[in-house]
Amino acid sequence: MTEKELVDGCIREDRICQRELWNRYSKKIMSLCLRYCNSQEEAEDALMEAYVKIYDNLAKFRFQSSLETWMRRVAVNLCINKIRARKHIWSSITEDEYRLGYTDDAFDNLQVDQIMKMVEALPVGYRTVFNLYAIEGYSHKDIADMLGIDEGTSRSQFSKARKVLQQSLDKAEGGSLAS
Amino acid sequence: MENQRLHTDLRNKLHDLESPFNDRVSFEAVMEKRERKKRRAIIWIPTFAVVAGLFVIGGLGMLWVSTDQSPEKAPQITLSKSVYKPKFAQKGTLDKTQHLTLGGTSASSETASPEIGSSEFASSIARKRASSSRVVRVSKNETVSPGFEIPEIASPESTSPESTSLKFTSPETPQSPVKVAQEETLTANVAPKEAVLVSNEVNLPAAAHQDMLCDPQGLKLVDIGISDPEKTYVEIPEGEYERSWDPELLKSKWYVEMSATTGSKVVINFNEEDRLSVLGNMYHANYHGLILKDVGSGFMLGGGFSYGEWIGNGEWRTREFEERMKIDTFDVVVMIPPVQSVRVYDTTYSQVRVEEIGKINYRINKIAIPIAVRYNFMLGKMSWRLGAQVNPGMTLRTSGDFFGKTEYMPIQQQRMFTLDMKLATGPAISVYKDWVLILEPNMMYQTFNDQVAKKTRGKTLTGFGVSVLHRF
Repeated sequence: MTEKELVDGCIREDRICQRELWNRYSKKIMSLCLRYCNSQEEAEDALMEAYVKIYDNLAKFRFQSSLETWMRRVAVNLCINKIRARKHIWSSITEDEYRLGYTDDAFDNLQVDQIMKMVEALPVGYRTVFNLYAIEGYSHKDIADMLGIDEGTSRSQFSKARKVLQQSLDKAEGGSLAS
Repeated sequence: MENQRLHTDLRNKLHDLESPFNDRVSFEAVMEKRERKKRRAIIWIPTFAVVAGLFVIGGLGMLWVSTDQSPEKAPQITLSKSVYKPKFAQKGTLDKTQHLTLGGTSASSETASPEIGSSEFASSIARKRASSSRVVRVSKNETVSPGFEIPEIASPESTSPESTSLKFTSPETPQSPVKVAQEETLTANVAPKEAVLVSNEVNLPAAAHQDMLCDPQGLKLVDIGISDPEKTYVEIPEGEYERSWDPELLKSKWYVEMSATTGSKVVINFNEEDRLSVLGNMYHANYHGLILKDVGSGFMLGGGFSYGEWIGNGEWRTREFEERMKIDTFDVVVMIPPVQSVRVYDTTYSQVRVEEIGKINYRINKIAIPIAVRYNFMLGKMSWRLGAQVNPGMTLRTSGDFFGKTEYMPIQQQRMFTLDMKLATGPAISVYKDWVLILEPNMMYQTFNDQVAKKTRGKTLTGFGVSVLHRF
């Protein structure tokens, strides 16, 4: 079933197409939600809410990107709204602190699930900006707009996230060397 | 510095990562959540729409009221604050005839005793000749008090500052007789201390407007405009004018009412002896618009149009007792030679309760033509309203299974006649001029004629309603 057929079927409220959409993308969206949410339960709730939004708004999908990209965008927006609703306090740091960080090959030796756990362990603010910048590929300006913060705060949150990740990497390397 | 390669690697690694979730998260759960959301929207969207509509209508009504009674609608009659103050030298015996030309219109005529004999006064009066064709000759042979003032009244008809009329006032004789000088020379001999009659000129269209706003004798000017309620009184004259000037007679007897009513009922049956029992809730939302007429003694009668939704959801449970046979077998060894064993079959019957549970819901959308009666009364210092209403109508849409405590029956695809009866009472709060808000708890008996079962079914739901009443 092509994306077009899938979308058209979902708009027609065809249960088979709706189920296919669920089967095809739900686990990927769950992975995304897990990176933004604090717990498994919260991520599951976000996943369901995201799918409700997706089913309700599929008619607005214009095929200007892939369906998966659009769905990820919907899920990211929903997770960000949840974070904003929690009124997280964002802090900013100086440019010098921003320059600290990991090297290009820092994650080369790590498995995906290890990276995932490290990302999940980050505090909310760091994690959100890190996810949006490093993984989703948004610019700091876009992130600032999405989160209602200024660009410097976005950069500082990202920098802090990298510092924490570096510490986690150091620990992981130490552990692997010891073993 | 930005670790772009690393980020790309990370993106590639995490982008296609799939994570498992618990069993509670499933496609069915998502669809159920979506249905719940839709149901909520179905209830709230019409409610919000009606409330928003009421506010819009109210707002437009207020706008209309304020626009309709704007001061531009009626000609302004304003008293000029400029006062003619004669000089001391001009005070003296007025003993000669003067020719005065008065212009414009005069709202009222009152007597005064200014220094008409003075040349300055004559010249000020002469300024008014340009806009007047009326000549008044006043003869006076008495010294007048310098304490009198000559206010000017601006004409509503003329834009020229010259076209003003004169009004002479005398504090001693505020209601002196009025005479109109029409293209003639008037000569008057005025007694000492008496007011001098000069002129009264009446502009008929202006007077007609004025009559709406002040007493017919034109003695007291009334400010126009509703912004200051203290100034908008209408003095009711006595005698023969009384009936025609009764403000109550000018009030409209027609009203329009917009109302939103909700109600609910819980259906519970815990009787263990019933084979079928239902545990459910019923809700209704009813919106109506009525035209009402005040028929006197606090009663209003009227009719209109209404739309209602009546939904219910819950669970049914059936209990059935089955008689089940149980056979126990025993092998009994008979020790009497020859030893042999005997198999004994012990059959017992027992009753087992079998329960089945399922979900149930229904929806009835209907329209009706309500016939309403309202009674307004005072309780203490609060105005209250008692309303009764009968809504004969028909269904627009039916679906699901209607239920009672011990039964349910399908009502799909039926066009049914409906009859609802509503009783409501509550305080009536005046929110603005001619606008009243009524908050009324209500009881509504809703019925429909099930054409398949040839039976009329009904339930009484209780709830709360909000009405807005407007007199037009």
